[in-house]
Amino acid sequence: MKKIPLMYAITVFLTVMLMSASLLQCTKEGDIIKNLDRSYTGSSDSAVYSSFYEENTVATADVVPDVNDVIKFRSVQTIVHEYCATSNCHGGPIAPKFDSYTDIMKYVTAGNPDGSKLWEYITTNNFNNAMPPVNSNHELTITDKSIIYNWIKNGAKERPDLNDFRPAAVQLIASGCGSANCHNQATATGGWARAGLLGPLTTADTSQYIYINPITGAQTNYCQLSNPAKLNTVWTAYKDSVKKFYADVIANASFRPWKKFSSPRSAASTRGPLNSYDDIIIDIMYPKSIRSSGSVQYTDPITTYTYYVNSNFLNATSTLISRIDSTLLLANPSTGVYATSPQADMAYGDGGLKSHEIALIKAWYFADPNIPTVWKYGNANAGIFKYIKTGKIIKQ
Amino acid sequence: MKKLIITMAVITSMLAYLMSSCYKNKEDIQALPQVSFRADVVPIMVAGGCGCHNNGIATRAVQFSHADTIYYDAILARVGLLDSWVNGGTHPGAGSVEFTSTQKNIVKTWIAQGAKDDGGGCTVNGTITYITNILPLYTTTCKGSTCHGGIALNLDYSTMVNKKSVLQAMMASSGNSGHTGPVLSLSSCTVKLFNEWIAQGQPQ
Repeated sequence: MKKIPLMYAITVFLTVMLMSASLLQCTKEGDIIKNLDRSYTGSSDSAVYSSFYEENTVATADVVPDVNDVIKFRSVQTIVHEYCATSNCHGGPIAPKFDSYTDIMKYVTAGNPDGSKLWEYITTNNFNNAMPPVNSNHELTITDKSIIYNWIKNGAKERPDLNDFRPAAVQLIASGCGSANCHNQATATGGWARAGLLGPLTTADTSQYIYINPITGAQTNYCQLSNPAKLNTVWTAYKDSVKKFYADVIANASFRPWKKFSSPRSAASTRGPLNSYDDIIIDIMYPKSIRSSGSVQYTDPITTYTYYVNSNFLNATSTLISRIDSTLLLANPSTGVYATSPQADMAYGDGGLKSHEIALIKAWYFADPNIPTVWKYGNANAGIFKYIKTGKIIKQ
Repeated sequence: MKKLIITMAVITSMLAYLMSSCYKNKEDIQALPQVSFRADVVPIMVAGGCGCHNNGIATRAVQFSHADTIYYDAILARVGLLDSWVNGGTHPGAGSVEFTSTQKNIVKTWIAQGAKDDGGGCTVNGTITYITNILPLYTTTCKGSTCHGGIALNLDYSTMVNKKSVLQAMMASSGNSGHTGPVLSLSSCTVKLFNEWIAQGQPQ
């Protein structure tokens, strides 16, 4: 029998022990872990604002970015720092580093979450490959996974652009402002329906609301048109008439929208619906204060109907941005005269927009080519938005 | 010989490192991950700048938050409505209010996991009065245009005293029975508070 040197035997023994330990170490087991499911059950959701950095300054910011100029949401970098780049792991002694955009992009295929290593690590159910290690009890939340998923899906950009701003801003406005008793079709079209545009209505077409003032005890009964098909019929007809009328107010005078939101006819107006992207664009191009002025703008000599629609849609002292951003003053786009105080009543008076949400809406507003230049920078780039602090006028 | 010593040293070091590394894979996890009410659900419930559920004034809709205070009870009481909404229904207050697919997924999972609050418990001690303890809770969680003070009975102090047996039935079932309107899911905090108030004789 051949004699094996002692040192050689010890080396072989240790090697085998090392390999065994490795294999055993890689076996995840336990009563709880067997029920762990790390997969992401969501889908691409562009309304989830996902940015690499926590903070992004809007392009039109004041000289020193003001409070409503910084978009700040939980970001990919923050999540990766919290879960991966901790001081005892990939932010410390263990390679690779997960710090910068460049570092992280080594594990990301832009536009393809399923083809990205980063995504595989945080969602795989092969626990041997999972990161963070499953037994660190530090799993990413659904919210965090959705941020990373949508960031990769949307192109894994270092800085967000219109494609990131628009869906998130529209979701914020449509969902935040469009409840039944606020900027909703029902509030604007109910009166039209009652005026006979839809013919007789049944109780199934409407919803009843009772409001008792908690201070005075006074009771108000509300009845809103709630049939979705009929709402769309009325609101679509209204929007069409607005678009046609303003395309040429002389040639299309017969399309002048006739406002009859209550009976008898009243100057009192309801809130403009903000249910969709199209509604929002309409509201920006032809602000409600123009579509339903507080005073009679025209009386039909034959029908004697009174119209509250202003022919000059630029003769406005209020618009979406001025109603949410208290750091800006609006100039009437027609006269160029600036307001002496900010509005922003929609940011504070009714639930409130947070500063980072205002910034997000602003970023979208100035980036979206579907919003006319005149509503961003006025006529001939004279500007219609001026920062109160520094007097900086936003120009193209 | 020198070569062997170096090899052994390397192997021993690697073994030591492996045994002491952060990958203690033989250990079971402590618990399955849960959807966090505070981190995942609250941002959904209070989002939407003009949302009527977080303006601190219960004149249009029941309140889910005001400033930094989250009204867990108010949200919990509407778990049934939320469940219907995220499973194909619509916003109870109509309009264009809609969850994104991700938000629906989060709410659905949170409800499936028991709709728990991970923000800590509550302490009920001392004298419980209608003005100090009950009214703020009622105002924030029960009032709204489609709830009490709106479409349903406004519950002032005397009404609440007269409805003591109804309250007791509700608290005994955590809102599952006794409530004239829809079934509620009252938190243990609310139940504890009302039971203590009733036990003290419903002081004003």
